[in-house]
Amino acid sequence: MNLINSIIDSLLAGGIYALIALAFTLGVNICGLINFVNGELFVICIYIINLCVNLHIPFIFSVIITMIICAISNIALEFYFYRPILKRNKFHSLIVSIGLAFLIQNVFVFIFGSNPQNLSDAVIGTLMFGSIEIEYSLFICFIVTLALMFAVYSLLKYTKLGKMIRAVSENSDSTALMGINNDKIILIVFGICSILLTAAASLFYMSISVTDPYVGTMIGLRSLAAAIIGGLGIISGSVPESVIGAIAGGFIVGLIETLTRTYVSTQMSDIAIFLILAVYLTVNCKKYK
Amino acid sequence: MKKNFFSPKIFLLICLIYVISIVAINFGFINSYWEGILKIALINIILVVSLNLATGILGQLSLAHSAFMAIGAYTSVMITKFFTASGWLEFPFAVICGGLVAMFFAVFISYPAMKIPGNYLLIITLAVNEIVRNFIINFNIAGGSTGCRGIAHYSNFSAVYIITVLIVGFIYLLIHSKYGRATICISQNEMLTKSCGVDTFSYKIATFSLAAFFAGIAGGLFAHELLVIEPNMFDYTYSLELLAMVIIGGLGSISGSIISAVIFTILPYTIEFILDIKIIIYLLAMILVIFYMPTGLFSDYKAILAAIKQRFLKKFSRGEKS
Repeated sequence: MNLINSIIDSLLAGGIYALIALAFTLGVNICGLINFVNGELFVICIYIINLCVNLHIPFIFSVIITMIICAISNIALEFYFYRPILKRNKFHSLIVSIGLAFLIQNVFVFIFGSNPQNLSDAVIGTLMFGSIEIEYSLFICFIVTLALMFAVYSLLKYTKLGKMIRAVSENSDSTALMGINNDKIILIVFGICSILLTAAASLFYMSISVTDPYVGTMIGLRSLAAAIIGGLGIISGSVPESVIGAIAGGFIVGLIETLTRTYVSTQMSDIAIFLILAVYLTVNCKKYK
Repeated sequence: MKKNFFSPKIFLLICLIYVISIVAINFGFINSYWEGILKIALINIILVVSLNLATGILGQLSLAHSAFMAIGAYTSVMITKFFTASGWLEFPFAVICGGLVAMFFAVFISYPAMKIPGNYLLIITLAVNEIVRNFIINFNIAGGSTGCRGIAHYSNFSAVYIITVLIVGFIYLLIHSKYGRATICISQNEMLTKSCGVDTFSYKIATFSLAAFFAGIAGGLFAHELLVIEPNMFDYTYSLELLAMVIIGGLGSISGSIISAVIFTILPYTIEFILDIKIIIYLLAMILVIFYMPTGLFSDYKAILAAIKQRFLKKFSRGEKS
């Protein structure tokens, strides 16, 4: 029963990692850039939701407000920082990405201080499934993650916008020749990424009661590992399937982390995830070529 | 621009700087506080030049340099403290062992990352930095989070200076050899280099591990200079500062890295108030340099010298006219 409880507890972490991994995967697919700012925007979203809830705005509306703010920041970042660099040199874009991520983190810590913040509980309560007790927030987390996964998957596979996104991901030169506005599609995808980040932030807010500005680095890193395990769209070959890969990778990483934390020790959970990532990369190197 | 490292001018410059520094230190013109800062500047030169080898020459961004430094520091400290060994041979042995352990660790972590085209090393190195720091804290290695005190003061200025000159000279010779040219080709276009018969996988691992070896040596020197080390000195913030120094100095340019390492080590101690927001300024400067001067600020020292000379001559001639 302890194992089942651990697996169910891992759904929370897995859901958060899955959503951020999906944001990473979409970003890599559309413009070939690993957007490290996702981790920091996630933390900023948590703080903005906290601020809005402390101002007595209902939870749903604060999430919507945070989505709008996050989308504006992500789109502005892409427009002002990534677009000129990507056109020039892809190697420099990685430097800008990681520089921006840590710049945002350190400016945030400088302005707001690095003290842990208490988050008010937005949702409490437990559900009973027979003899297994599942917390209400875990259940919401799982449902929301699956719902968003299906939403993004069907957006990419069945709508015209999804077709344009898939085309730009595959070959951006040809789509420019065909009359698609590449820049607008990239902005739209970054907006979708920020919606995913805000959803992950709201799940985090519902379930975890204390946070500090530095969680973004580790969660972002583990979500990136989850995205790589999910294939980053390279293994599956097509963008809709990469959605499923990213979500699966997120849940796998959540599972590994929770099981290692329960059965081995907390310190080994960090090492375990990256060990598995290293083994995965070594074994799967052929597929990435 | 290609300058011959063994030209008499460079050799004379190196000896001159050494003599001036030794005279200044021994006769009290530079007190021990500034002597320590000069030694840290030299250690930063080693770190920045070796990171430039991994990032600018090889083209693989790496944020693990402070982890390699930590491994080198802790290994050398464990050897000097816990092995009651013989006199003057202990220090070089400890430092080189530190470098070797860091090198083996680098081989271990770069093996999966280098197999795949693309820059996945960055993610793994960021994780490695955190993991090494947590490892030292959690497994209480040489004192764990309380740090390691009472390290013997083995790094005097001569030792650090000679080791720095040797390492920078070695890297210079490496870059200007057949090996270095192949590595530069790998960073430009890996598939083309592979089709020319170069085993890119071994080159990438070897260059990255060599950079880690020098970082480990720098870590050993660092530990025996500061006399107290603790794991929180070696977090990813330090790696980011080194990366910023490399990029502001210029990717692939040794003279640029030397100048930027010296300036960015001495600057925080002259302008005291920026110590709080040091990392913000470094990252902002890095992003601005990448945007507006991607070859780096200090990479073309001849152009800077010529500009200074021109301005000096202009001032001089204006004075004459009036």
